Amino acid sequence: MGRHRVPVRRNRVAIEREKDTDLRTHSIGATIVQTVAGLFVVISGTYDMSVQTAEAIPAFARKYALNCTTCHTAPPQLNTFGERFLENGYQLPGTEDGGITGKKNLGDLSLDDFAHYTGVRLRGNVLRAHNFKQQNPPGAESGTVQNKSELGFPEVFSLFTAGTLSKDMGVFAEMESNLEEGATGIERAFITFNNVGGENIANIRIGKLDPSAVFSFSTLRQQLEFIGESTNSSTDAVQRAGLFPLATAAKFYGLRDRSGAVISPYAPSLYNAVAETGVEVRGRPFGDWFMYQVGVLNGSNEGFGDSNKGKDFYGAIRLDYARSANFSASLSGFAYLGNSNATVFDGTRNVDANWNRYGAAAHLRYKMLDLHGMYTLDRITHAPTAALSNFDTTASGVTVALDAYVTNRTLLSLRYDNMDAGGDLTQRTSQTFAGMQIKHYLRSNVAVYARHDLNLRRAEEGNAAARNLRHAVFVGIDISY
Amino acid sequence: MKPILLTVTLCVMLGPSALLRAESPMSTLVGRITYPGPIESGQVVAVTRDSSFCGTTTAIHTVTVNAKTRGLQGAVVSIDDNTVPATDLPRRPLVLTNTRCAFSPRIVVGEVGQQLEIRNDDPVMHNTHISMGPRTFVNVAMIPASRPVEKPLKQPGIYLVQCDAHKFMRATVVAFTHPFFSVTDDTGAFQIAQLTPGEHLVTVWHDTLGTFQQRVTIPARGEVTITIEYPAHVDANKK
Amino acid sequence: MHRRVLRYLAILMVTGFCATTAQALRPKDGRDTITEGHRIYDRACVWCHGTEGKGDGPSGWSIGRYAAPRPRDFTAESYKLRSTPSGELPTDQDLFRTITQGIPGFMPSYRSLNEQERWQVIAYLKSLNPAFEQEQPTPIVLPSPPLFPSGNGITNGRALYAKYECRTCHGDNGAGDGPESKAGHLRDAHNLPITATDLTDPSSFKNGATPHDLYRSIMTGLDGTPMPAYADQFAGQEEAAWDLVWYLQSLSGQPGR
Repeated sequence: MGRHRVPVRRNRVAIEREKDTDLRTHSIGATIVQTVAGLFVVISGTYDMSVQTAEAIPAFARKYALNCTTCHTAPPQLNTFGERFLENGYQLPGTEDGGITGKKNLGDLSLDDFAHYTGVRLRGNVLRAHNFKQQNPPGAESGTVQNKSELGFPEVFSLFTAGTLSKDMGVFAEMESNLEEGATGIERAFITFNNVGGENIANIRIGKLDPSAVFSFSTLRQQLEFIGESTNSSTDAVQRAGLFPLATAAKFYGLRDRSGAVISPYAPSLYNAVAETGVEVRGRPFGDWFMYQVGVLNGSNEGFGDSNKGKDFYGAIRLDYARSANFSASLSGFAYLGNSNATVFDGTRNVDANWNRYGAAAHLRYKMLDLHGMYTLDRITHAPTAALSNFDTTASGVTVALDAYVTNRTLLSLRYDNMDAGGDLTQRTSQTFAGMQIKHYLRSNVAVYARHDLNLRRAEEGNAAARNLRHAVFVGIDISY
Repeated sequence: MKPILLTVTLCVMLGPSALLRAESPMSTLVGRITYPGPIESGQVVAVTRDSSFCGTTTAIHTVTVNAKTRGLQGAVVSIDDNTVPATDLPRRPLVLTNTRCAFSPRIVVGEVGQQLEIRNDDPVMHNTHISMGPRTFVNVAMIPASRPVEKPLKQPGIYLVQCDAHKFMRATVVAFTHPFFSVTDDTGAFQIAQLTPGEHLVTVWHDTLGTFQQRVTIPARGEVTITIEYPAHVDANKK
Repeated sequence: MHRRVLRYLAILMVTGFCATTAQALRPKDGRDTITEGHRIYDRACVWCHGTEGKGDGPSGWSIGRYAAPRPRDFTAESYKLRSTPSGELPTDQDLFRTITQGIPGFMPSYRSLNEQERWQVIAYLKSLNPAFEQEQPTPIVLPSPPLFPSGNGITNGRALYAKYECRTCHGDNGAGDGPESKAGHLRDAHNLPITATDLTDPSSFKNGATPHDLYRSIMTGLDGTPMPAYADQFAGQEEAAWDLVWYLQSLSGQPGR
């Protein structure tokens, strides 16, 4: 998942690459072929690829004695049942089993076995390889923009606890240790109060939460994981493009948060942030077909507390259709209104601006196919004209993803990402990438994958990082237990 | 005197009706189903279990045609629009036997209410699994020298008979709500009695070739002999 | 004499009260019950079982994907988990048990719906298949297991396991790796690939893992799967069936109980 919250940490990218001479790849094509072929030699013929066995592990699987695919299409992506389970505060849809399932009653204390709350995810790219149009361009730190392959596992270790404290009261906490970002901390943590005022009338979340959790496009449920960009530690300029679902990204170059730190154009932000602190209410008061969501946050990128009086507000509406055979669809729209939640440098100092976002998304699931996409439009407003003379105040992004199980154990994923960047006119560069991934589940909770990201603008002129990165190849392992 | 009178009266009363029954206008359809070909020896499949007894290969989806008469074996002929109520004869159970790693007979036809008796004559275990569409009729393990298993046919229609241990074994049970049906023998011949005169729709069904229907006129009384030719290319998926 | 009468009267009253309370938990079958059951179904069950109960809900395919199992089609299919002979519908108690316990790995336990709600859902499920009105499912006789296996119990059970060729699907040691299962030959009623149960892992038994559950599975078979019914084979010698149950339990290291 990756927190990838701003500020872009200055110390995280200047890691010396001393040992790369013997790891240099001759060509990206060779790398792709070698890694994918190697992967399939290892796995072919060894495992039963056609038939499901009942292996089930993390928290909810333990608690409810269920396989992953009861709630997930392919983890972390949810199927319709899993979505409703999440919305119901980690209670079975249509029930309020929070005080019953798995609970031991000890006087007036009701507790699960800790294993029923706990799950671990350990993942990372065993191998990363980047290929550039121009190696070591001016402005890039030594070793950061070179055709080379790197060993990397693990990258992210997530420990999460989630479940119900009692009927209609849920909790979620996730701690993440991210080696790429060089940081360990609480990723998200919140408490939920569900079915307030009646079944699905209002569900409240309080804490450090991801607003897009219940949207048709959820930031944290992408099959192609975040690959962080590389920025110059002195100038904060992007050296190597990041690979993100760009519709979620900040999309502005040179935009700063309230503490003055530069916001990465790739960082999932605002409504699509990985986590922000606030309160949210949502529900389906008229039936399954309609959901409302409103929330208030301290603000974008406010680490702890609120650096100003202003709060950010968001609202979303979702329409669902889940009445056809093997099919469900949803359509959502949101508006995120920021209140002095960003700053722009006007030459002398950082001045407050409002950073707003509007977006629409759709999600279709049919048997083995999972198609989802989102369009977002960002606007910077309420900043003094002087500060905006060199600043494009509009940015937009599109992400479309298709995941398909081609066999019981093999998942094929495709993703298209486009960012129409805004911000500093000298820095902003639009970016368009296509990603392909094949992921094979050795067991339900152990998967290996190979991925290739291709820059669709690689032939265009310019030295910007978004043009320079031509190919990226990843081979990795994803484990949950 | 009186007993004699009674007897005579009774005979007079009953006699003519007995005569009438003997002379009722019921007809019999005698016929042959022919198939112009090609004669299919079927698809040869490997025997996956118990090959020491069952052999190493066997043929499925066969279309067996008599070389001399061109008669099609194992076609089910039925007339569903006959209005004569069936006579109430005691019905023997329909026997389906696992023998030499095949079901015998391959086509079993009977009436709703009849018992189906499943047997195993082989020294290997069979698992006779009979279903109609998504609904299981019966799924029983039949060990060697197992006692027969009986179950009444309660629904009309076509039942698929399989063996889960020997996937190449296949048979069909067809159950009707009336007794006007027959299965063609190895010469392609069949016979259906107790038919009212008039026009009837004859339905012919074969487990590989599918369904085919033809109108036939049955004259009053007696036997009518027809030959029905199965068209060469019937959609085998039509059931 | 007086006291005895009072005692009997008291017993009668208590028994009568208990009986009426038990009846009160189960709602009367009828239009209202079915409507209520439909309402609960539409919130809790529809996601896998579908709006018409055909097992084609929006998440249903996810459960097994290209293989068995798929969620039950309540409109036409046979039921797998029963106490009735092969080919017959389940009893109401069978349905109640399945909803209450869930199916390990695939269906959660709906103990969280109260008893009345579960009976209402059952009434709705039965209304989806006209066969429930036409047929009278009768459970097989489920005798009590002997408290302990007889001296030769597990040995006899092992011999039965061989005699009934259970290893064909379940494997020599019950690990579900018999030749037919490993070769991928086994298919369910929808022609989806299915594997034999790993008998060394009782937590995965869909029909339950108690001695009674094992007895039931052996006798009634699991309709819609290749698992046949062995009731006719054991007719008149139920004790032998318990020997097989003890042997099966021994495969997972459980002492015969």
